[in-house]
Amino acid sequence: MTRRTIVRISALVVILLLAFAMLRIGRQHSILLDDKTVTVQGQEYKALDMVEVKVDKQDSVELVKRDRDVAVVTGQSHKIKVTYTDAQWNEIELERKIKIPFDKEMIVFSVPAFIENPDDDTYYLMPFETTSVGN
Amino acid sequence: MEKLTMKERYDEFISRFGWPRIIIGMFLLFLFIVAPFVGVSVSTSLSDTINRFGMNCILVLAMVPMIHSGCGLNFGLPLGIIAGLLGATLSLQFEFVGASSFAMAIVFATPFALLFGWGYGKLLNKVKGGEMMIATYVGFSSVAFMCMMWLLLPYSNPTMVWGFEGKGLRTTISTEGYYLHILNDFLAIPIGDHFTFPTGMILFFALLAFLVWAFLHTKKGTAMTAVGSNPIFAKASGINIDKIRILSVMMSTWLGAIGILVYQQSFGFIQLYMGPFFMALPAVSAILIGGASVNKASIPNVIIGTFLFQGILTMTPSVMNSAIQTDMSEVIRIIVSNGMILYALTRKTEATR
Amino acid sequence: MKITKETFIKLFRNNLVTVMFVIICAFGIPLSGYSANYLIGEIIVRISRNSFLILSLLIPIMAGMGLNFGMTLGAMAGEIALIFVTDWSVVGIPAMVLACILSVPFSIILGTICGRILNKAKGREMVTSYIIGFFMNGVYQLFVLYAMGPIIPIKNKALVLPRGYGIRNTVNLIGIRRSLDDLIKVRISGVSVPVATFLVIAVACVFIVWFRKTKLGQDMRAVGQDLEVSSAAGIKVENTRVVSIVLSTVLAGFGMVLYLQNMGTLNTYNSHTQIGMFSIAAILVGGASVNKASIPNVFLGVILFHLMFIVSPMAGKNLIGQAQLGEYFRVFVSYGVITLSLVLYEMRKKREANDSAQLLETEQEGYNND
Repeated sequence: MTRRTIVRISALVVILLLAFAMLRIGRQHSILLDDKTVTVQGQEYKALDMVEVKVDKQDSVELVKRDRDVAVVTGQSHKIKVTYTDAQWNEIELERKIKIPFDKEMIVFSVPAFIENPDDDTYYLMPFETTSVGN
Repeated sequence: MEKLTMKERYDEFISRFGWPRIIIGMFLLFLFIVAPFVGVSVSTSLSDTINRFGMNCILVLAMVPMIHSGCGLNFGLPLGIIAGLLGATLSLQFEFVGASSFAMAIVFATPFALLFGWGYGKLLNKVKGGEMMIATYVGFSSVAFMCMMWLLLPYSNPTMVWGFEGKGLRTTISTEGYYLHILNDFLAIPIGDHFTFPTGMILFFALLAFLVWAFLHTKKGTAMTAVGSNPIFAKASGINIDKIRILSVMMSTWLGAIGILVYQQSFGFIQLYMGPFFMALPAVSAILIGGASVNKASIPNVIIGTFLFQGILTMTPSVMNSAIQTDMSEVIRIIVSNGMILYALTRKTEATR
Repeated sequence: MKITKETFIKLFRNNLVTVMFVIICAFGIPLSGYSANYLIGEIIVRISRNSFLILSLLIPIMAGMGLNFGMTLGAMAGEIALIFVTDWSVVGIPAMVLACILSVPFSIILGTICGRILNKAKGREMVTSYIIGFFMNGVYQLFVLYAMGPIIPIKNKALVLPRGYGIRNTVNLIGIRRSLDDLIKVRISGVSVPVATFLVIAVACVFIVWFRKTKLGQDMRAVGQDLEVSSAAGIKVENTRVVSIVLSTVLAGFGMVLYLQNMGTLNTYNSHTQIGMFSIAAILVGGASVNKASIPNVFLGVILFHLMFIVSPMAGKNLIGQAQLGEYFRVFVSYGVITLSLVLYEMRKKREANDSAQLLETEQEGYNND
C-alpha cells in the first residue's frame, strides 16, 4: 500500500465518521410526555394531577391528568426535569439525563413511571405504538 | 457469386439501422402486440398514432434542409413556429373562416418565416461550429420575446383576447370555426369504428415532403448537400456557402411555420406564450430516431422517425396504464428522446464535421 | 490618443453584456420604486443563495469545456441527498453537513457519466451537456418518482405521494430551513447579513483560487488552452476533463444544498431545472465568457442579474400596468443574455482565428522577404 492510498482511505474513513456523527447529532426525536396511568412490568403507576416537565432548555410544559404533550429534540442525550407536588404538599424536583435510542423517532416518556423509578429508563421510556393513539 | 451470408446480412442491417433504432422499433412492436391483451384497442391506437404522425411530421421535416446544409440539428425550430403563430393569429384577426383561414394563415406566416429565417441564417453564418447551442437559445429568446409581444400587440378578435380586459392574447385559442380539422377531414377515410385515416393531412405532408425531396435534387439542392457534407469542396467549386446556408435556414423556418399550422388544425388549439418552448426537442429526436445524424437526413428518416416516436408516445401511456396501473410514459419519453439526441451528438463519425 | 480609443472600444465590446445590464438596471430601479434598503437586503439574500452554485461553473470553463449546463446534475444530487436527510429526520447544521457528504457519491457518479459523454463530443460540449441535463432529469424522475418507496425505503409518510411510492411535489425542508443563514446573523442598518453563509462561500472561493495553483489545476488550464499540446506534454487529457466536470458537479451539489436551505422548500421536480440556466446567465452577465471566467464575474453577475430579476416585474407594472410583462421580460433577458454571449464568443473566436492567420501570413511574408 502506498502512502497515497493510506491517506485516501483515512480521509474516507474520517468523512464517513463525520457523516455518522452528523447523523447522530442532528437526528430529531419526538418525546411524548405522558401523564397517564400506566402498567409497567406488572406494576401500576397512577397519573399525577398536575406536573411540570422541562426538557433541556425548552419552555416547561404543564400536564394535568391524562395529558400528553410533545417535545421535539435533536440528538440522543437530554435532560428532563420533572416538578410535582406529592401527597404531603412537598414540591419535588427530579432531574435525570435520558438517552433516546437512535432508531426511535418517537418515544413515550411516562411521567408517573419516571417518578417512581427515576434511575431505570426501562420503566419510563417506551416505544410509541400507533395503536395507542385515540385511547 | 458472392452471396452474403446470413451473418453478414445481419451485420449490415444492424449497422445501417443502428441499435437504438432497432430497440425502439422492437419496443413499439412489442407495445402493439401487448396492447390487445391488456385491453387497449389496436385500431384506436393506430388511428391516434397516424393522427399524431400527421400532426408532427412537417415539424420534423423542418429539420431536413438545415441538416443538409451542415447547420446541424435545428434546435431553433421555435422561431419557425412563431412565424406560424403570427400567421395563425393574423388569419383569425382578419376573420377568415373555413379553408380560406388556413390558406391565409400560410400566406401571412410566409413573409415572417422568410424574414426570421433570413436573419437567423445570417446569425448562424457568424457562428459556424457553434450553431446548435446558439440555435437553442435563439429559439428560447424568441419565444420569450414573443411572450411580451402577445401581450402588447393590438389584436382585437374577441375569440382570441382575454375577455375581461379586451386586450392581450389568450394562452390557448381554439381553432374551432376557423380551420379546425380542415386537413384531417379532407377526404378522410373511416375504416371501422375506431380508425379514421386523415387523408388530407397525410397528403399535405406528402406534397411538402415531395417538394423538399425534389428541391434536394435540383442544382441548388445538390449544392446544399455539398455544403453540408464537404464545405471545402463546395467552396472550391464556387458555391456561395453562406448564401446556401441562409437558404436552408429559411426553408427550415418556413417548414416549421407550416408545421405548426398543420399541428394546430388537428390539435384544435393555437398555443401561444410558452407553448412553442420545448417543441424543438421532440422534433429533433424524432428525426434522429428515424436514422438521421447531425449532418445527414432524408425524407424516409422523417417518416420512420416520426412514426416510431409518435407511436411510442401514444402507445406507452395507454399500454402501461392498463398493464401495471402506472403511467411511466412521461419519464420514458424524456429518457428516450433525449437519449437519442445524446447518441447522435456523441457518435464519432459525426464529431469530425 | 488613437490607442486609448481602440482599447476603449475593445473594452466595451468585450463587456457588452455587462454594460447592457448596468443600463437595464439603471432604468429599472427607479421605475420599480423599491427602496434602496429593500433592494440591498434582497441582493444580499440572492448572493448568499446563488453564488455557490455559480462558482461551480468556473472549473469546467478553466478546462476549456465551456459553460457546464450539466451542473443541473449536481443540483439533482443535492436534492436526492436532502430528501434522504429529511426522511431520516436529521435537522440543523448537522443535516446540511450530512446532505453535503451524501450528495458527493451521487455527484461523482453523475459527473463521471457526464464527463465521459462529453469526451465523446469534443467541440460541442455545451449543447451535449445541455441535453445531458434533460436526459438525467428523466433518470432522476425515474429514481425519485418510482424507485423511492418500493426499492429505496422512505419511512417518512409526509414525503411520499398518497399512492404509496414516489416523492411528493414539494418537500418541506423545515428542519434545515435557514439553519446556516441564521447561524451567525448580523444586522447592519436594518439589513440582515447571513455571515456564516458568506463564510462558506468565501471558503469555496479560496478553494478555487488554491485549486488553480495545484498541479491538477495547471493541467486543466493547459487542457483548456490546447488539447493536442497538453496531450503531447503528457497530461491525461480525457481524465482531466472528466475530473473537472466531477468537481463542478460536486460543487453544484453543495451549492444546491445551500440554495435550498435558504429557500426552505424543495420542489422535487422543478427546483433543478432552472438552476443551470439562471446560474449561467448570471455568470455571463458578470462579464464571463465561454472560455474565461473569474470569481469577480460571479459576484458582479449575481448582483446585476438578480437586481434585474427583482425590479423587472414591478417596473413592468409601473410602466405598462402589467406585472406579467415584467416577468416575461426577465425570462427574455435571461435567455437573451445567454444567446448574445454565445454569439459574441463565437464571433470573437472567429475573429481571433482570422487575426492569428493574418499574423502568420504577414510573418511568413516578412520571412520570405528577408
